[in-house]
Amino acid sequence: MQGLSDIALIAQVVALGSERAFGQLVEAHQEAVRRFLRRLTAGDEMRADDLSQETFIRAWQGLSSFRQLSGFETWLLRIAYRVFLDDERALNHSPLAHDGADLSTLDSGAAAASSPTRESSTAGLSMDLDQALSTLSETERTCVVLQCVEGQSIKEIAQIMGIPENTVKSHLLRGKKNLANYLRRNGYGGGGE
Amino acid sequence: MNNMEKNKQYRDSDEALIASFFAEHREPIADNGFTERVLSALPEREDASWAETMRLRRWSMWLNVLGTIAGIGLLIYLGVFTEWVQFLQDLSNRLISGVLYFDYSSLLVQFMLFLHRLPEMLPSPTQLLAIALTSMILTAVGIKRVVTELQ
Repeated sequence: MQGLSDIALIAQVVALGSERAFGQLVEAHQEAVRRFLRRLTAGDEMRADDLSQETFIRAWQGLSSFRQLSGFETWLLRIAYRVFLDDERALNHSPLAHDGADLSTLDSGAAAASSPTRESSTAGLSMDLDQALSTLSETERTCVVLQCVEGQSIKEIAQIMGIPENTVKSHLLRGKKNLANYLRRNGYGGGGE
Repeated sequence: MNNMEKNKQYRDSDEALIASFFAEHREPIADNGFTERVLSALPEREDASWAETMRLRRWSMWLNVLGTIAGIGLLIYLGVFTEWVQFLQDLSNRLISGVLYFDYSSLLVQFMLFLHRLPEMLPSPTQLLAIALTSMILTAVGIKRVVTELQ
């Protein structure tokens, strides 16, 4: 039903330039876009909201190019991902982790950052989501967030990130394995050391 | 248990662990004025197809106005409105007297008279043909103009 109402609203925006209809689209999809960008920016809410705003502005400007080959939310998340990559390049931020980086190094870095949490007896429950995700490479993190948080399929993730489906599968496999190992090592799920 | 089964078991337990971790950390994000901020920051639309749509809309609006004026002018020229104006004056007089004096039979007579005279008051086939031809010419001129404008 969401898809149908999205199409009706998109038609109003494209044909009539209705800002009211676009407002309804923003309201319906702001949560998914903002949550996705918060995870990519390691929980930086201000930056994530700025990027989300930029995402919706680009969507407004290019809405007539939306061809319904994918769902509207998938299309929005693709824009959001590009906005994030552009911002990363512009700010020259070093990603939290690089593809192919040694996981043990990354794990020890994240572990150092989260040492107070690890020392706590309730480490598993209070573990910060972004600290856990920071142990993954940027690409792995994006794949895992899109699948486990946003519920996107492998095909949709491939469309959003502009990479082949098999590459998505291997990033997901490796990312989930690393994340699960990290969670267990930190006492989550009863497998702590 | 062979290696394949072991691997599958590990993967399943990883999936369950990750699913429960994300479910536990799922946070609802309230709008809190975000939509308003986006709407207030919206720029003018710049894409080419949007500009074309707007230009087409302006043209079609002016053509509609022109067509309506031409159609009404033609009907006046053909004398269609003379009879209608006379009839409407008659009708309003009778309606007023019917309502004022509670003469409902007069209203009924007027209504029957209206139905009876309706076929005479409609434009003749020749008049309709003239109107249709004028509309077609206007449409053709309009389409040609819009196509030229968009090229």
